[in-house]
Amino acid sequence: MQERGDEELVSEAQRGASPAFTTLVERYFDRVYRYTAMRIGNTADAEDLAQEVFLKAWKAIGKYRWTGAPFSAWLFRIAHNLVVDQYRRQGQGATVSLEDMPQDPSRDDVEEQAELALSVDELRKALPKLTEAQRQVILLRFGSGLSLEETAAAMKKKVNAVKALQHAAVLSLRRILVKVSVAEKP
Amino acid sequence: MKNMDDIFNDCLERLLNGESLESCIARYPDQAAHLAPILKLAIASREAMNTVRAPEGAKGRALQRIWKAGQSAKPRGLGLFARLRPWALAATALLVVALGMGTAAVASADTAPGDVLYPVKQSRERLQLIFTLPPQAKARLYLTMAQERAKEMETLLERGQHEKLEALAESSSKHLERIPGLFQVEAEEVTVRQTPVQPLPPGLQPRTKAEMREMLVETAQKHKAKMEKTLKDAPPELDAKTKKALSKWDEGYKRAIAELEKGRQGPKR
Repeated sequence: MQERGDEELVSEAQRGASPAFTTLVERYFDRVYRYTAMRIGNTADAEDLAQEVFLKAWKAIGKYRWTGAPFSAWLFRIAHNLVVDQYRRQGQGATVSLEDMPQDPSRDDVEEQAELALSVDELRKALPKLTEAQRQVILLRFGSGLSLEETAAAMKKKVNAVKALQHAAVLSLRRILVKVSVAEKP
Repeated sequence: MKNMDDIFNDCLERLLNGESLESCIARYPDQAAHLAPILKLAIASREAMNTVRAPEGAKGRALQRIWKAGQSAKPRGLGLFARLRPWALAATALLVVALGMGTAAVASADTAPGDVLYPVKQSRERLQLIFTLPPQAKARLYLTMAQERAKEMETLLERGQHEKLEALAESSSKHLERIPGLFQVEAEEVTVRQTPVQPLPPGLQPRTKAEMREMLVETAQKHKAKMEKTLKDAPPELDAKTKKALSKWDEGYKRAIAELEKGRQGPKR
């Protein structure tokens, strides 16, 4: 059976159909969680924030208008705003601690797991050193799997601007990681 | 000519679509030295973040929280619905959500009081009320529920089971009295003067009080005619009681229609 599009599901949810909204939660929860987890840190807060994103979306679904910006962009804008609020509450120095985060159980190769775990660790240390826009683009594009257009809509920027940001963000990330790697060498 | 931002994005999209790094870079040999390390890093970042997974049961907990938030906004005094046990509601919620308003709900659609599946229908309606937040959608849902009560009354009249008619008429009136309060006065008054009322296709939610009123009038006329026709064949000893139930049912519509005409808000949830 063909998967129903976001537009159709949103439209049904706006008419009060809860199964349509449930499908949207099923579709986006993991990606939103990944975003909040990478931004916030510990699993409990990340889960709580991801729930909050969908709760806000459900309450505001009647106000959502399909004016070119996809539903995913709207959802991640809510997520971003909630993360910013959370930062304000906790203070800017909020640290990210992903040690206890569940890893994909399908990856049972110990070496690969260790290598990837290290990458997450490196990332969590490097992300705060990027600019806010660069961090956003890395998380939305590579963490939450949004397309360039969706990322642009979520960030309220032009597609070309996001292309430039994306390029700059990866270059900055590389510089940061290389510095860390050099500094950590015995 | 493409700038480096475009080239990087082009290669990235190709990689994400399954093309190999070598093949992507071969398209831009002059930029290969610049592209290779940052493309590898982009893909490594993606793979690393993909290992971050939501804890087990997180989606279910999110849905439960949304459900609870919806429940706190539910209208009070739902008669029969309010008497359902919480565990029965929770079980039905899970069933209905899991099956996408599936088999049991569909099978219960044409039931009337006394039928085995009638409680499923009641639970489904209650669940819909909990999840329906936009006021117009809620108003439409109350009307749908009132229409259901009318259909059930028709079914009971046809079956000659007249004893539950009055309770259904009261239930219908309770649904209807919630409707006027769900429309805002100011917005409505402007819209009513400016917009001629068009008949709405079935299932579409009313945007104004005037549209809602039209729907109520139409529904009342349709069901009243049907019930009066059935009533002609009713046994004479049941006539008075049945007429009283029908009159109560009719009054419910008249009150709601009058409220919508006045432009006053009805009882608040």
